[in-house]
Amino acid sequence: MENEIERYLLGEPLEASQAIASEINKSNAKFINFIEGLETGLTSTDNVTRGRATHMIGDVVEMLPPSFLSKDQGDMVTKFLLAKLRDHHSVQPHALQSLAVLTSRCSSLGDETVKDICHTIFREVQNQTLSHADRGATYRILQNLLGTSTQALRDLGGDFVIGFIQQMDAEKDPRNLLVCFNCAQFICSNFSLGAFAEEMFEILGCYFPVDFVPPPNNPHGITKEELVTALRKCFSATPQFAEFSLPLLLEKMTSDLQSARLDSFITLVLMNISSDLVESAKNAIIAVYKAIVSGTKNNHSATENIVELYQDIVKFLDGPDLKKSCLAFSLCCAMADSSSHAMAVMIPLVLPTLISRCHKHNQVPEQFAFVKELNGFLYVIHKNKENTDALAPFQNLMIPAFTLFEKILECTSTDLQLEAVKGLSLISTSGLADNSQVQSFLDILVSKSLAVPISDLRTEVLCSLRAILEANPKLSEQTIRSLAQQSNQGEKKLSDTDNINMATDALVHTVVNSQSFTEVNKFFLQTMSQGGSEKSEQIVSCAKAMEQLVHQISKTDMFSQVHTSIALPLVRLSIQASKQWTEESRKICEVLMNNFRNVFSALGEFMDKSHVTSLWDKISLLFLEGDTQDLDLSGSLKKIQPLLSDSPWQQTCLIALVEGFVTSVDIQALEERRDQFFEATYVLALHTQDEFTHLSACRCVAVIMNKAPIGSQIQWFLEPMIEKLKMAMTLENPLQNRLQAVRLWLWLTKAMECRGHSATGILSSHLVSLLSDPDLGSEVGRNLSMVVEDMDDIFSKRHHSIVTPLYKQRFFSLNLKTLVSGYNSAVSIEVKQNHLLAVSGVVSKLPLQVTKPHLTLLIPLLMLSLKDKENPSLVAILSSLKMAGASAPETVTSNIDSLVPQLLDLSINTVHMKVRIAALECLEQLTGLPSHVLVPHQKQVVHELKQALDDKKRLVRRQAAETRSAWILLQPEKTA
Amino acid sequence: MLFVIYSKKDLIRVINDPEHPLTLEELNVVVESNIKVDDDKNNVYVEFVPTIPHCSMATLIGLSIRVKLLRSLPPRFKVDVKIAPGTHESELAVNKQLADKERVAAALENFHLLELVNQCLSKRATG
Repeated sequence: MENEIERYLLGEPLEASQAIASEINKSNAKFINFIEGLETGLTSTDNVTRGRATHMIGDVVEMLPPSFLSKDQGDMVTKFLLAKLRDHHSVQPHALQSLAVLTSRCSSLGDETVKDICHTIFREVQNQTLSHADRGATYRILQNLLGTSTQALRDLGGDFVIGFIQQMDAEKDPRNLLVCFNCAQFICSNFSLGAFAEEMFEILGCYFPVDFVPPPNNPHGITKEELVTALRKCFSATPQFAEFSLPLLLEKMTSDLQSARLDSFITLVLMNISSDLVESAKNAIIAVYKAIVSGTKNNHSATENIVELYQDIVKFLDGPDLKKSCLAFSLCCAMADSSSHAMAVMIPLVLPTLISRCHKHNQVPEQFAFVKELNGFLYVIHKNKENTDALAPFQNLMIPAFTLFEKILECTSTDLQLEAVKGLSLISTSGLADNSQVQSFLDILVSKSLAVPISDLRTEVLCSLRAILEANPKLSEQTIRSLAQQSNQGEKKLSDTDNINMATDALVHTVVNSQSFTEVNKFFLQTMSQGGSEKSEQIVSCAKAMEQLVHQISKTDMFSQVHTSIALPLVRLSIQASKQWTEESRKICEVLMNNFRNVFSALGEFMDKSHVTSLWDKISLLFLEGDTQDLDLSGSLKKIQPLLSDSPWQQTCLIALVEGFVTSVDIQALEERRDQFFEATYVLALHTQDEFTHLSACRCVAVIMNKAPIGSQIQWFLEPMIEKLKMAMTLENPLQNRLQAVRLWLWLTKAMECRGHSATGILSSHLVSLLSDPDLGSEVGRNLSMVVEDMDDIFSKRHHSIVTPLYKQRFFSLNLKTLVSGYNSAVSIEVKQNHLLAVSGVVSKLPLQVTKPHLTLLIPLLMLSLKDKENPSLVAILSSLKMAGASAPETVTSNIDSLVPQLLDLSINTVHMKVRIAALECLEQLTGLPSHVLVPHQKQVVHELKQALDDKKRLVRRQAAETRSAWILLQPEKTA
Repeated sequence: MLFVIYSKKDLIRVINDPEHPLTLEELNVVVESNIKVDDDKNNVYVEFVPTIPHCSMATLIGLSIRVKLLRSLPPRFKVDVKIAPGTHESELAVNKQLADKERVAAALENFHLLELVNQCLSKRATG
């Protein structure tokens, strides 16, 4: 043995180590003897001898079979070699080489040893100063450890990642780089990079794009392709790289070298990028290729570039990986989007593949993904629709697309249908479909618009319908005719109101120019004027559609005609109809009038000031003086007086039309006869016998008061009004009139609170005091909440109303005290009840944040109001209480003894499902309170909830089960 | 069946497996097709599949399902919980234990066992 060691040290390494290894292997000698024999070499003062001796350990181990050394032996030798790393700098490389051998031969090193290896290498080895072979040894050590002891390295966390980054820094040798990339890819995909993601990317990114020409004869057999793939794998190893790599790749895409661009593009496809990054990548590609195409003078080279790129990417387009191929398609699509030339080259190359893939996939999700990509291309084509020369060659390509979409439209998935409608609409409006195709698509749309219920699909169908008719106005006449026929037919069947609504809804969307507007409008007016209660459904649906129509044309020049084409005919129509209404058809009349009000509200919202004034002139004359001249009413009805409270309800309900108009217009435009009108409406509101008229007149008054110009005028109006109302509320008047006065007062308060007027104090404090009135109190109690209610259709900025911010909070905090003290001082049960109703109503309409600071004060009241099962705001109260359980537990705790039985009662004995669920949820929330409070009730709750488990509603049962098990799981607090 | 009890699985879906941080549904221990509810005859029949044939926790899982159902169903129902045939080594023994009312009641008197069951039944946020 000693001789052999001598031989090795003297310079015959191969034979000597072979001899020793075979001795050890044959068990003629032991490994330990070999190490002992090395003693003189290892302790020699000569650096070279020490180095060689260190190297010999590695050489011998390499000759031994794998896993020959036991774990202990391995650990021991490793420890020794690690110590050698700290030895003289000329010994270090030998130690590294031996370690590399050892880590590959010894698969079972202890975790501590592995960590030790890493720490020592990262601390002691200056990799950049070593020769390429020794650097390679370092990388091999790390690679081996990654393979055998992944978990140990993962425990090192960031230390290992940053250590690896430092070791790998500035590596240039391709042989070492291959190993490095391999390690990096493994690290990125298996370790959490944490804060070092960017560093890791920086160190890898500087090699991109790989530029490597192997030396002649290529002695090491490393090719550029190998390096490129290895690096790409690194990039795609973790999604964390996406945000860093995207800018880099896109920057490289602007390179002059076609090869660099290609490489970037394909890397992009392979990368793990998330959907929001896809969008930005696409945008960047569009920008880049726009610049490239405009930069190159001749189109020929641009074409070549694109074709070359296509050839490289085609394997992804056809590939089995759905995600990658979709991404490839969408990047191609982005490229086609960059210029019309790119489109002309790209689309014929890609589209046939895409269409065939759409056909091939039967599963909905896959087909959906591809159809979406297809629509991306169609959208690009659509964008270029002006450029007919460029589009001409696509005409043939569109035929298979058309058949594909028609096939998809027959499937059941609505998502797919939606995409198909989009696609067909894009083709048809790009001018790529011939007349018969457009016609057949239009037929499909018409039948779909009559069959598809409200959904995204319906919206898309109607939008497409409109887009097609806009592109082909000639077709609109026929479409309108067929839809109108459907609408009429639906009535005959008397079965399907949905059908009528769908038809009228679709009709609105066929309005694309003034001609079609006239036609549709004429149809609606005609239908409505035919009247008769048996056609009521159709009339109401037409009235609804009318409002939609106004909204739709509000931005077009057709809107200038509305004054004569919609507003006046509607007034005329309503007046004529007023003769026909009977007591039986009163309900329909009210519904219709409500719809007309909305139409007028929409009209007022979009009309310009001069039109508003002229329409107001006509309407106010008509209403105040019964002047029907302008309307050319036929014969019988000469005089109408809708604002007189003695007129029949059929006439007074017409005030809804003016109400709608006044609600939405700018009050400055209504100078003439405004005061007169206000006066008349006010009187009507007080004295009319008709409920509908009363409400409408109240709103009218409130709106005018809310919008009235700032100044003394309001005061001038308000004071006599308050006086009159107070008079009307006195006991000597009949109850009906007193109640109406109260309601008007409520509306006035709402109007003034909204604009934050100084007079509100008087109005609201009087309201609160009315709660104690035996006759009027309950009316106030039930309706006080409307003061803090959102009423966007009446009071809102777009309707030129004055709405001050935080007015609800103001009302709440100013009146809360009075309400609570009013409750406490009240004597009779009714008055207490009124106060409770008022408080609970107001609280339920306010956002929880507002009421939160006052919960301590409110909770006792809210709990009392739970007793009233008729209270309309029970659900809201319960949800406030539920929140209170979380935010003000002390208050709830102190009341728990009465709260639990109440909630139990509500969760079992109320009629409304929502109340039962809310009560159960509230009970569940209570389990968050300290358990000493709850345990006394546990038994009762668990027992009584058995009943709720058998509730007739599934949702209640589900909540009951949850609540009950939450209560069962309550644990008595552990006594310490 | 006119009256579907709950969407049946809702009930059992949140029981945690004693050995895994997942619910029984996520582990496919209980699947909807193995639950039969006869509302008219007031019968509920549940079969479950232990994760492995020698799963030592099978009894505990069965007990948890039983307790959960007892707590969540109206008292008129008779609950049967069994191991699906052929999925556990000591199927018969476990089934016998689960069917024995007195043993179940006794088990629930045992504080430690009850705590274990409650742990399985508590929502994951707390457990």
